[in-house]
Parts: sequence; structure tokens; C-alpha cells
Amino acid sequence: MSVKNLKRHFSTPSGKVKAVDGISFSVAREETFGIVGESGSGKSTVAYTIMGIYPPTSGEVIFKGVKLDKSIKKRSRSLRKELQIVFQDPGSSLNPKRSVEQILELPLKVHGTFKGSDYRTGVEELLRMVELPAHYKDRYPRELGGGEKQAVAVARAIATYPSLIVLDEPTSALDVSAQAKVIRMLIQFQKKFHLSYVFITHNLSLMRNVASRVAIMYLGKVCEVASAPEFFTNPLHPYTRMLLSAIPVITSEEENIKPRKVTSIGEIPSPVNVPSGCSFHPRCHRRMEICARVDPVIVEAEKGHTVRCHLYNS
Amino acid sequence: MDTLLEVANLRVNFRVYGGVLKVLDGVNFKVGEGEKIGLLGETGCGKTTTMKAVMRILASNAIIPMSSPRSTIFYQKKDVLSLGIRQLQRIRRSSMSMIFQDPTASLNPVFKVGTQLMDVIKYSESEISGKSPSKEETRQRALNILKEVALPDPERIMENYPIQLSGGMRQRVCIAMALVSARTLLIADEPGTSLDVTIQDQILRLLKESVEDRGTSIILISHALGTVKGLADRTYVMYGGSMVEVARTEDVFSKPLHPYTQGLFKAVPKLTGGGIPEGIQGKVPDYLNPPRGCRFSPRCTHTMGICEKNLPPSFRVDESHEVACFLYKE
Repeated sequence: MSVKNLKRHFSTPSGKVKAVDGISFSVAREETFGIVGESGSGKSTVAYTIMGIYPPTSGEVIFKGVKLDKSIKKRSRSLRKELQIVFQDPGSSLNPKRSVEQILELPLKVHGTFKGSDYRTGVEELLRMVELPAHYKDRYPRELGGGEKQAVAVARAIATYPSLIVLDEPTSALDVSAQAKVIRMLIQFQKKFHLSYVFITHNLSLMRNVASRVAIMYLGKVCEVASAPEFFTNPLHPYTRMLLSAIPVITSEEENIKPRKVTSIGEIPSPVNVPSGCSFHPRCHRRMEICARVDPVIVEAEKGHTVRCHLYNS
Repeated sequence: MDTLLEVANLRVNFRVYGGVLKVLDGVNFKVGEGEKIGLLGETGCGKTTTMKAVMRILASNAIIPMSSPRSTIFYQKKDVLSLGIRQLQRIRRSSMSMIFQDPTASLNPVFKVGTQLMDVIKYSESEISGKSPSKEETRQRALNILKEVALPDPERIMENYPIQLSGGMRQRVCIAMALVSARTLLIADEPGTSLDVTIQDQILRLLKESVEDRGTSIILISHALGTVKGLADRTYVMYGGSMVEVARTEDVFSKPLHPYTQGLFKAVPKLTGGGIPEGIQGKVPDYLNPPRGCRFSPRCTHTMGICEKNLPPSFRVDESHEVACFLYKE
């Protein structure tokens, strides 16, 4: 899948919000592409735009060589089957009035991915894949723990045999122990079904262990894209350095690979009033005179490592 | 160091439809004066309940059983559980305060930030000096405390409603409010969890500076292990309604002893890579029918016969390191 110059603007009473303002990236087969950013950076909007929940203002999403229709309603059923999403909060993405069986049965019926007349065996098969006992099919979401609910949401996504799943902060509502279980499960499915993931999170330590390439978003734009190991050993953009040095870590080895302490200042500004020039300049500790005037362009600083900053524009 | 707060054998049950939830099962801990304490544990292990019991703000269906061994909470040598409402208010207004996890829910949406903050200052000041400060004086103190928590343009913020502020700013307002009355003990319940990492970093730095300047004790509750590491002198680890391990913070992180603590640390993804670790199998106990003996025993990889029968007491491993696990029985 590739995304080209994707834009999504919203009109609000206080002005135009450029939630996503021209981003491009591509995701290879069986790859996990990570998107990191603070709240308000537009990462969830990217997810929803890819899925067609929000039609993009401009730009295009190309999936398996075909340009996707803007709106999900116009997409064919076979296409919808290929793209799935897992939302952040399983408490609100699962219908509280439906049992696990009803929740998991629906995609099987709609997309006909289960060959057989008894959907119950299909549901049991799905539950087995996400390591939940078969009798859970009669439970309701409120009777499940956070990790179990998210497991059901994952089962619902894989029920259609998709080729790409957008994971919008799948574990940020979970404890570390439950998080580890859900992530291991996702990695296992990726190998088994040759899935591609677009993995959205604000947890950089998690990203380090899951994604093969990572993009950092700030106010609707991508600041830096690099392979995951490169990203953490050689961060280039000042915002990336600030993020990395703010992560609380638990071992001294981790402390050593963090960039020298960059004191984080300020907050992400309102997307209604994006600062002029480079949108990060008011919080940047290495800003130059040019940063307030000119928006930097993306350059390839090293092979496969692109960055959008005047420091590297020479 | 003098002991400021001492909690012993604290048990809290909740009456619910279908039975009694036995949530806290003999919590013991101590906070010294000026000490910074960390409290770690998964969701649902009783961290917040413990602190609410200390503040005496538990929900109305909570019961503290009076059977032996008696639950006790001593704060500044006063028995908190037997204090009357007047004396409790006195403590809350003049020496102890709490910051809650969600700043949006803990500020009143229909009053201006300034009004809410000035109320706190007025009550706190009149409790300490016996007379209400003048309006101008209160306002001045409100502006100062907002400046202290690094909020830009405090005059404007005083006139704003909570909804007009960002999450980070709201949490700073809550901290400012808590700092007004927390002269000896500040309880911070996951103050950075709902915020972004860069904002969380700023909030934690602010808390650390504020308590160090004032010599206030702090209890920092978190399930994000790294945040505690950067702030606390001593760290308690809680599981299933009791403290399973306590030590100086660097010892907890460098040589965790309890199987639960070890499992918890292993489950955290590392910045250095190395793949996704294994989570602890199973889930937190059902408080309606908690397991007999050690509440971690059904999930533990080292379970022995005794674990399922008896509740392990705290074993002292070295001077400051205690662990409630039969593996460490001499």
C-alpha cells in the first residue's frame, strides 16, 4: 500500500484544521509500518482516512496497485474485506449489547470467509486463534478484561482474512502484561497470514520492538522516517530527540542509548493556529532564523532515512 | 527520618451486588517525612483504593472490617480511621492533598479555574491562620502558584474554564491546587498517564522540584514503571490488594525479588529492542473469591504447596529490601 500526499482538513467554527497535511509513505507486504506522534498530531486521522471513514481532502491511497475510492461506502465488499482496523479502546469499539459470538459471527457472514453452515465452529476457531476459551462466545464485552476485549477486537479484524490491518493504539488502554500478550499475538498472525500492519502508537519503546520502519508525525506532517533500529540509534530531527529523551525507562542500558537530555518544553499547539515556517520551531532547541519563515522540505539525510528539518537542508 | 504516615493491616471490602469484594488484604506501608515513595502495580491491584482510604474518601459501599488484626492508618501520629469530619477536613485543608489521574474529571467544568483555585486557597489559609485572607491576597497567591507550575499567562488562565485548557495545562492546575494545601504529604495518582510523553516528562520534573523545594513527602502511584524510577527514593510493588515488595528504588529495578515484580519488569518493551517479551499468564484475582494464601499463586511460576494455604508475611532480605514471598523464607 502506498499513500501519496494525503491531506485531510476539517472545517470548524474557529477555522480550518489541517489534521493531516500532505503525508506520503508506503507499506510493503508483511511489513509493520509505525506512526508515532503526540495527541493532536493527526495519526488517528491518517488511520481513518486510509480506511475511508473520513474521505481525504486530497491525495490518494493506492492499495495493491489500485487507487482506492475515497469513501468506504463506495468501496467494493472484497476491498473492505482486505482492509481492517483495530481501535484504541476495546470498551467502546465492541457493541456492549452483543455477545462475543454475535460480534465475531457478523464478519464471517458478511464476507463469507467461513466455509460451512455452522458459524459457531468458525467463531470457536477464531477464539482459539486468539487464545480465548471457547465458552467465551456467550460472554458480553463487559464480562471480559481489557486484554481479552482487545483480543476479541483482533479476532474480529482477522475474521475476514485481510491483507492489511490498521492498528490504532491497540494497547494503550492495557497494562504492560496484557499489552505483551496482545502484541505477541499480533506478531504471530502477521507471520501466519502474511499481514501488513500500520501500527499507530505514542509508545516509542513498544514501537522499537514491533515496527520495521517508523514515521514521526507532528501537527499533520511527517518529520522523520527511518528504519526502527536506525531511528533509535541515530535520531536526526530535534523533535525526535526530544521525544526519545522524555521516555521514562527502567534499565541503565536503555538510559545509555537515549540522546543526551533534551529538556522538553511547551506543548503541541492547536492545529487551528499552526506556527509559521516549520511548525515545530517554537519548541525547538536548535531553531535558526530561517525556521520561522520557511517550511523545510523532506530530504534524504542517509539512505532510507528522511528528515524534514533545515539543519539537514544544506 | 520521622515517620509521617504508617498504614498497617489495612483491609477494605466493597459491598456489591452478588457479594463482598475483598479488595485490600492487609496493606502495610510507611512514608517518612520528606520522603519520595513510588507505588507500582497493574490496574485493579488496589493502588488508588489504598490512597483513598488514607484520604478517607472511599466510596460509600466500602467497609473497613473491624475484626482483628485491626486496620490502622496513622498520619502525624493521629489515627485517621477514628477522626471526626472536622479533624479530617483540617488535615485535608492544611497538610495532605491528592492529584487524580484524570485532570478533566477532577476539575469542576462550570466554574472558572481561578474561582476553584481561590476557593482552595481561602479554605486552606483560614484553616491554618484562623482567618480568611483578603480577596486581593488570595488572588495574588493564586497567580503565584500558577506561575510556579510554569503555566504561561496566569491572569488569562484564572479567567478560563477547564475546557479551554489543554490536558497538560489542566493537570498543572490540579497540581497547583494540590500544592496549596499539601504542606506535608502529596499523593499523586498517575499524574502523567493521560498525557503525552513530553508533557509527562515536564509534569514529573515539576512535581519533583516542587516537593523537594518544600520538603513535602510524595507518594507517586503509577503503572508506568519508568516514571517511578526517576522520582522515588523507595518503591513499593502492589499486587492483589497487598504490598508484595519494597526496597530502595534502584534495588527494586536492579534486583527485583518477587516473581510478580520480575514478571512485570520482563513484560515492558525495551528501548534497546530485543523483541516483545512474555506477559504474566492469567489475570488479576477475582476479588469476590480471592485465592487462598498468596493471591499471586495461581499465576506464579514458582508456586509451592505452602503458597496456596498461607498468606506469605514480609521477609526482610536486607536492610531496606522486604518481599512477601515464601521463596525468601530463611
